[in-house]
Amino acid sequence: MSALSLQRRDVLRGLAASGALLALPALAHAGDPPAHSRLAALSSCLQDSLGGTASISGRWPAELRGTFYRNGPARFDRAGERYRHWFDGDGMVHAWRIDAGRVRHAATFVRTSKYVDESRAGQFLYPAFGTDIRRRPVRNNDSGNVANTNAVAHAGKLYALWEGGSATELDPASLETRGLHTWRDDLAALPFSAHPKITPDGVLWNVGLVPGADKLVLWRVDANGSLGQVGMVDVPQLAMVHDFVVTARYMVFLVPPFDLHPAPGTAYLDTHVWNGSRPMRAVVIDRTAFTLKRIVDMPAGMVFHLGNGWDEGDNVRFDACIAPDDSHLRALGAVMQGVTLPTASTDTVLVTLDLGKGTARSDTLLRGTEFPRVAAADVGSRYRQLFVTTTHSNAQFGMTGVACVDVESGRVDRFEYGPHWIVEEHIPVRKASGRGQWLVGVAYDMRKQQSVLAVFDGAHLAQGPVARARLPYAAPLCFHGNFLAA
Amino acid sequence: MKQLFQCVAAAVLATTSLAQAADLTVDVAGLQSAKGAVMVAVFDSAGHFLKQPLRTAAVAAQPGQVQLLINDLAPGDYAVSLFQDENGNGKLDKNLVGMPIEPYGFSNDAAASNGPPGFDQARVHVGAAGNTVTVSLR
Repeated sequence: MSALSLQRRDVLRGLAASGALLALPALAHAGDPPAHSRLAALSSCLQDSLGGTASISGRWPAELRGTFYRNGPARFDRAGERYRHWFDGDGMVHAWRIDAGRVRHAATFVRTSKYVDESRAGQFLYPAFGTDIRRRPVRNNDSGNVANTNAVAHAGKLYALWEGGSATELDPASLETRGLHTWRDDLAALPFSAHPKITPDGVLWNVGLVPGADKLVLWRVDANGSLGQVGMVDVPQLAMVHDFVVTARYMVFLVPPFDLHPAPGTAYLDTHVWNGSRPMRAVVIDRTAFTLKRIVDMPAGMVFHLGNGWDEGDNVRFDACIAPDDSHLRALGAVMQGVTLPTASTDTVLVTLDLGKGTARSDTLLRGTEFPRVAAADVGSRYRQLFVTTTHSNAQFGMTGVACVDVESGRVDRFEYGPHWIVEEHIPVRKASGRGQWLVGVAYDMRKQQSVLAVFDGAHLAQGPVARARLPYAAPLCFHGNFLAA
Repeated sequence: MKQLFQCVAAAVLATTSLAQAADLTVDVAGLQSAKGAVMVAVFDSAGHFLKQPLRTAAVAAQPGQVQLLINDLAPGDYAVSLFQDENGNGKLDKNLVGMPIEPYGFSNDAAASNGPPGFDQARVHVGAAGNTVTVSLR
């Protein structure tokens, strides 16, 4: 390729990026048609709070009462400056309150110190995951804590969680920010990641990654909310561990093969350089002692989310959404500039580790998946029903369907929302009878620019939702959430 | 009588040294609370930086801004580190993996990245007429 054509391509790319920037409208204005239909969902929410009542269609199960907490990034621009990755945005916590067949929605930005400082200054000040901004000096990890990844209720408290820093405690009723939660003085600002697992005994298990130090921080918070145990394990070349599974005896982490190249002026994301010649590693930790049990090599692969796992004898089995490379991670940066890049397929895989032999086997269960979830009662033990979101395309932003995969038989029950929807994580909620699950989740209706909460019978997804609760506006897309039954 | 002479001599000496020394005024900005005290250390070389301060000073914290005066410095290059000792234990508290968890700062607001900045990044010059620097607590 000639230097000229390279230059021309760069110029075109620059133009496309700046054009998209101007064209992306602010969210939550139902009347504005989107310039980039799917990517319009990635515009900033300019209001501090949102709220409204949904209109119900279908027959909402009377027994399904409680609050569906969700969290996701919702502020991507300040003073004409746009973040370079979807993961960068400031967290907005949502509560879908379901009672007596009525569904109300409320959302508010988490008042992190970052959000408060930057709102006051009218511009971004601190570094984000994919955008290196340093207008103010940084004290520690929590200076850039955007609390944007998950909303988790535990032991009577509600936390907005992020990957790189402390949990932020919120008032479960008002969603007001109470502040950073510190379990012990010397654990302040220690990463408390966004995918804790709560086993049926009420114990919360979590991890934290200390970038550059090659240390996994392991957390156990007991059922009453007090600190149970903290440990640290050295794992060489540790990078981007977003999720994990807990089994009766172990915690299992998948470490994708990134080489780290930290340099001044480089965003955290850009210090990660994919190295497909290295294996992905399954790191197995003894969950009682918080010590390393074994590291098992797997083919190079990128993973964000794992669903669940169990152990039996020398074997550990778990599901994970695995892609052959990090193209998806990069594509979630490009979308912020209005560019949709094709990505490798992310597939639900059942992994079997033999801890005696140090081998791994992977069986693909379903292609084109994300956001795996299992019933709360299944966490850490053998399970059959795995719920995921699905896509038919590797060249568009967001998911378009939901599926339930039987981990033993491989049978798939699925429902396709259609191409005009962006389907968010759907989660199982136990039926009052104790037999089976409701599946609850939000999807963004691109044509009407409205957010819709749907409930399915978890055993019959293909029949479509049994009821839908439609907001008169679009709520910002979320990453993860959890249901707290009334 | 002899004692009086000594006092006078000391006063003259002090005056003389004052004439050849400069004052460094440190304005500390960004205090969020009145907890504890702001502790300042002044270093005169890369070799001593964050190890062996030439001078230290402290002032009670108050929300907003506080000021400290380091007087009688020989003209030259220095670096300043400071922190707000919120719990009064005399040290900058850190967490399990060594990240600072009390407010701190350096002259030039020198950036820290996976560790503190170097002396050169925090270097400030104090001339014969003295100098005033502002450090933002982070």
